[in-house]
Amino acid sequence: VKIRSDVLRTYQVLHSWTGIVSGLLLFIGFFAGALILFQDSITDWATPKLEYQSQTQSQAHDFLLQQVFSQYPETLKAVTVNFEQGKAPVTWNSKPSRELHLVSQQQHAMLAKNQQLHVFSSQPNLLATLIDQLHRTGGLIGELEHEHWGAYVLGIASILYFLALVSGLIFLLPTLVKSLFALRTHKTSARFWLDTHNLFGITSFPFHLVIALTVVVFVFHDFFYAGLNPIYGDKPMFSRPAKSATAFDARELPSLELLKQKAETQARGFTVSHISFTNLNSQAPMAMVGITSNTDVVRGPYYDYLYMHPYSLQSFDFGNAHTENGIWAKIVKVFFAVHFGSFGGDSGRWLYFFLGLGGAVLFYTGNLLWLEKKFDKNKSHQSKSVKILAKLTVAVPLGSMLGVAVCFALTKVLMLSEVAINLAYLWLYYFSFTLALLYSFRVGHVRAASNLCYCLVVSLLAIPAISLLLHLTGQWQTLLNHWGIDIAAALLALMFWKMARKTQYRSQYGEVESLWSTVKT
Amino acid sequence: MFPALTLSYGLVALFAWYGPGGIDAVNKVQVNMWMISPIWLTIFSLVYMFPTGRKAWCWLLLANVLVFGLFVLLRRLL
Repeated sequence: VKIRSDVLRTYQVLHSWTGIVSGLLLFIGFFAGALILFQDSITDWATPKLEYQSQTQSQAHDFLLQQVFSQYPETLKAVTVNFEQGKAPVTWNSKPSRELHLVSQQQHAMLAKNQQLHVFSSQPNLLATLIDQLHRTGGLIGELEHEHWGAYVLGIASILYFLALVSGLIFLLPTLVKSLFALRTHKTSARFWLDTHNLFGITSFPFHLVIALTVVVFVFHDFFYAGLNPIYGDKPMFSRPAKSATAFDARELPSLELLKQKAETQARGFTVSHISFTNLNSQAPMAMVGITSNTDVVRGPYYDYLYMHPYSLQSFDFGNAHTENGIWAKIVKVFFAVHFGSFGGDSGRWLYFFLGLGGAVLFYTGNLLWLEKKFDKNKSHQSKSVKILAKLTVAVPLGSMLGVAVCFALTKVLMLSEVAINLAYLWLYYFSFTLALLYSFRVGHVRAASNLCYCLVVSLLAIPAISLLLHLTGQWQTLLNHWGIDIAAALLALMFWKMARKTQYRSQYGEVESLWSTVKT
Repeated sequence: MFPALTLSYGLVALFAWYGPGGIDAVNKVQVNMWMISPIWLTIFSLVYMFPTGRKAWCWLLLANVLVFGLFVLLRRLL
């Protein structure tokens, strides 16, 4: 492929700039994103087994729901019926709202043996939700309008990321065939990083394009819709379901079994996992039916949704891909699914897990390459930007991972205590992250790199250690399929231990004229 | 950046009104919204192919005029 050399140079500069500016934020976004692909597993792992394991019979759901309505009228506003194993049949939140409440209580209702209503509350574990928050905002705190401003920052980073992707591809094109599968381990370390960077970048290029584009839409969709307004002119962009003349009464709610059947005939191959009712005693009641399938494309990370009228059982058009002319909604569903990896059930999620981690490697190696290029062999003349970026490149990824690892490690201990765990997570994460940052600026990137790795190893090892200890002492019964998280933590600990050893070795015995050497020249 | 954004709105406008299903198709508005950013960012990332910034501006403005001209014309006629 022939491209003019001045154009190539422009793209090289563009690639460096956009990459450096967005890389560290994207690292956090990607590694946190890879973790929350297994959101439900994390929550199960972090929640002690409660007493509601015996599931209420499906016919009893109606009876139970009516009892809840009469004794807890606030549930008429928002309540969820669960059909899945291991969840209480009826749940609601003590502070219903779309916003995240770190200290709210989850209420669970079930029928006791004597058909009596039995309600208990528990503190939900929000570890997975908080990692999701980290994934979406990069951990930047604060809100703008109703959106976290961190999300806007990541949206802008994604635009830069898209530019970096295209420019990287363009300036690699002329030498692509020659250098793609060359992994030159025996030349300089910069060469090795470059080959790794290219290999990861090219092989997962479509994935990265898709992620960049979907993030831009997720963050800026309000603005895009606003821009469509003049194009639509006086045509309505969205049709709202009409309000009925009189308010409905929850006592006349049709049976849940009927609603479930109706939903499952409409969405063939799906099963209903839960139904969330809102504003039941109003003129515009709504039932959001969560449906799931392990083989079909779903819109959310786990569930697809049908919006139905809880009384007439009519389904609304909004986002409904299960009607005859649902082609547009189907297309949109795919856009969502290619971000969440929610096609093909768990195999899709595993694929995305490794692609996500590969993305984190891509951004990290990109920063290393920039540092190697700008690094001045005469150490006394090192430019300020190299020094600062070297420290950040070490501290931000390691600090962020350390924060998450510490949260995981202390989860079970804190869940068993009376501490407001979801607030504690925030303290733990930001404390670890800030400490890592300060430490790196205090002792320099070389020592910080190996020592922060050691910290990470210790906190990762603490995860299985604490699980095992609590399991053996009978304080926390870990189910067989939950040990996966503990095993993964142990494997990661091994990996970081090797990295720490290598970094330490290189700082003492590696090339003296290197960014990673502590030997004075 | 900006002429590329308006150009992508113009292309989406043509698709929204005169593409398959027309303007009234249920749920199509979401697809239209989703299409803006891929078109926008693709143009945005490829403008550096122009030898000078001036040329880039000229071509993109011209493309804008053509696309929106066509859109207005079609809206009047149909």
